[in-house]
Amino acid sequence: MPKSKRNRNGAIALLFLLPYLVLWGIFAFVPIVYGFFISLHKWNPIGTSKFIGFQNYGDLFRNPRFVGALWNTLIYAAWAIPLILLVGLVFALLLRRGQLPGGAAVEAALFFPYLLNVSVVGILWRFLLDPDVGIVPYYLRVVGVDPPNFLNSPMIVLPTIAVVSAWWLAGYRMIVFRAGLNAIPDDLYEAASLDGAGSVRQFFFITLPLMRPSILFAAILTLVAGMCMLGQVLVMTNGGPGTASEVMALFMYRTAFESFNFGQAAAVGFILFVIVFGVSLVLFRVLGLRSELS
Amino acid sequence: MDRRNFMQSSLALGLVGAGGLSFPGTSAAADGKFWFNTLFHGGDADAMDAIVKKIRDENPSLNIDLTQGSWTEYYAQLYNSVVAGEAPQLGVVDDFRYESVADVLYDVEDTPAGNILDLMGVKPDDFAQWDTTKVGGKSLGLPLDQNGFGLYYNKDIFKEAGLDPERFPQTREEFEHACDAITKIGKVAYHPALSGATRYIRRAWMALLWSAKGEYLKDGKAAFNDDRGVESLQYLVDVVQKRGWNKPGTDGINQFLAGELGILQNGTWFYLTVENAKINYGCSMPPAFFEDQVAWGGYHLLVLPKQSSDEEAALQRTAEFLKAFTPHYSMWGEMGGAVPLWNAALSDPELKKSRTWEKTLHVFSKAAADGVIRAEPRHPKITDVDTAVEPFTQEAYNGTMSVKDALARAEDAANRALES
Repeated sequence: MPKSKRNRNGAIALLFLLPYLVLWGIFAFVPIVYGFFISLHKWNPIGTSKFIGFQNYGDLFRNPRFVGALWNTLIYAAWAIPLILLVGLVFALLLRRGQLPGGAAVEAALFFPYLLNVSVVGILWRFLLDPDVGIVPYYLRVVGVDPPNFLNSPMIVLPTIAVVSAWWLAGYRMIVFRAGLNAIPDDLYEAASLDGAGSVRQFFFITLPLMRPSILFAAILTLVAGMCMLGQVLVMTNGGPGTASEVMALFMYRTAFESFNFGQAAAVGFILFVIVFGVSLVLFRVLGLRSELS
Repeated sequence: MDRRNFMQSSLALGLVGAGGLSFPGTSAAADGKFWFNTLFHGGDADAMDAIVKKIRDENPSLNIDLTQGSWTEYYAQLYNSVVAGEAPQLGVVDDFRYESVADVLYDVEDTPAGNILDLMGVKPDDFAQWDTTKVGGKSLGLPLDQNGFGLYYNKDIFKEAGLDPERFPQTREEFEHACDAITKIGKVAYHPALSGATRYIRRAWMALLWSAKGEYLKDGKAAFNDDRGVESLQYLVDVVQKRGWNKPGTDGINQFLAGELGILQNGTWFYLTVENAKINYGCSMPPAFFEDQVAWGGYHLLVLPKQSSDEEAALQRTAEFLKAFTPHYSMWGEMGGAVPLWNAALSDPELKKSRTWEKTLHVFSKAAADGVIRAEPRHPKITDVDTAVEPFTQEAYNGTMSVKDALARAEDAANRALES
């Protein structure tokens, strides 16, 4: 293609992208850069702010409570992300194959929690898991199991919140996966069947590879939801017991809005951004969006 | 409709829509509205709603916009609203958060519109405990109420356990005997910390610490890690770990409302909730667990967040509202359950005839007058200290950390917060 035509095409492409780029610049790029700028200051929103370089970052990594929150975030993400994706994927596959009786009702029931506000989800599950009046411990006792104190045990509080998050968020992932599944032509499965491929081989060699874009989309959504989780802990445990469920977003919230240390809170936010951005890049690399685009 | 007409109509509709959009702060300032934003929720929010409704009826010229309900994010909203130039004209703060938001509040005796008390036609002496408003010699608010913890007990459970339902235990020994008797009949005896949230466990311990004549902060440092701290925290831990009066991780409010709990430590604000639950209950102050009889408590203060524009007009409206509010302090006590800090209300015979007074307010009022209800020390970083301490007191309560370790680590974390 001649260079002049390439340039013209590039300019046209840029024009089409411009509305999005302007919005992205205003609502994403500028806040990120501004957040980083704040993180380099002892920030005083109503007075003079003092530039302190990377001191906020140094202070954070010397603070055992922040390190604990970082660790808790990773533990929660390690439970929640696979769980949410797996539940969504399993139900998407079952619904596609028509293996579930009353599929539409199941789909609606699974999607419904996603419509709820996180406060509702948190309050609802706090009641369901209450050791005295909760339904979950009640039925565990009925079947002869001594129920643990789900939200007051340091060992199981994060997995419990991960399960609640899966209940809340898996329905939307299921819809994303369903869309991905519907885009796969039936001919491929017919051809694979004629060639003698069983359902397992079909899944690994047709379904999964062709679902990469929807898996990538759902994975990044879930990654952001997992790493930045706040509402569930704020309502259900407030970071407890002790600091067992204090995640980075809660630590950031407290630093900003309880201690009014906005500079350090911005530093937490930027660290969170770097982690999410880094893992997202790895996901792009692993799941190969580049090949899909080309 | 052709495309041009459609575009024109859309633009016109958009402009009309945009013109109709209003944000609470800006519109309130611009159109003469008075914006009152409180942190109340539950029973006390209902009480404030009722008072504001009365004021609206009595003063039709006051265009009051009352917003309520937020608690955890209230201080962030208050602070940020001033920074953003969208602050309410009137707010409510807890005294333990008072100093942390002092920068964004007017000195009520020296505002751009003058002394708010003069505009209201009142004097500091008209308020009970005026000194609670002082930060660095300035009065950054008006006293609204004194609130605190008391012990709510289920009279039916007391009867079932063979205890006198009309006489709450007055000494530590009597209290322990009552709890053991309740435990024997298969009920949950005592919950010292409301819903069991971390901050309530810390507050329950603080009252015991003060009762043992211990101190939380001294000379700008944590002062609780001593024999008194250990003794008081151990007593709290023993409630769930040794004496079997309850279990860690339970919600005392749920237990009490389900009729399963004998004694619940809860705040003045629990009055309406427990009334609505139709439980046969009584209310008392805790006995002197150690040397002094102490209950954790605090104050609510009406505060005037700084305005970004049209300050004088906004402050005039605030004074007008506050003047209309003062006759309703009794109603605040009657419906909100807290001790109103307005002298005329404290001696109001109507308040003393109310059911609130009969059931709970006489107890809290006497405790406030006797100095039994004690507030947290004032310090700009008290929230950071509390946040640093409470995970460890909760871990001790849960039995996942020894009392000594918990206090040592809490002391370290609190001092780090104070030094930062």
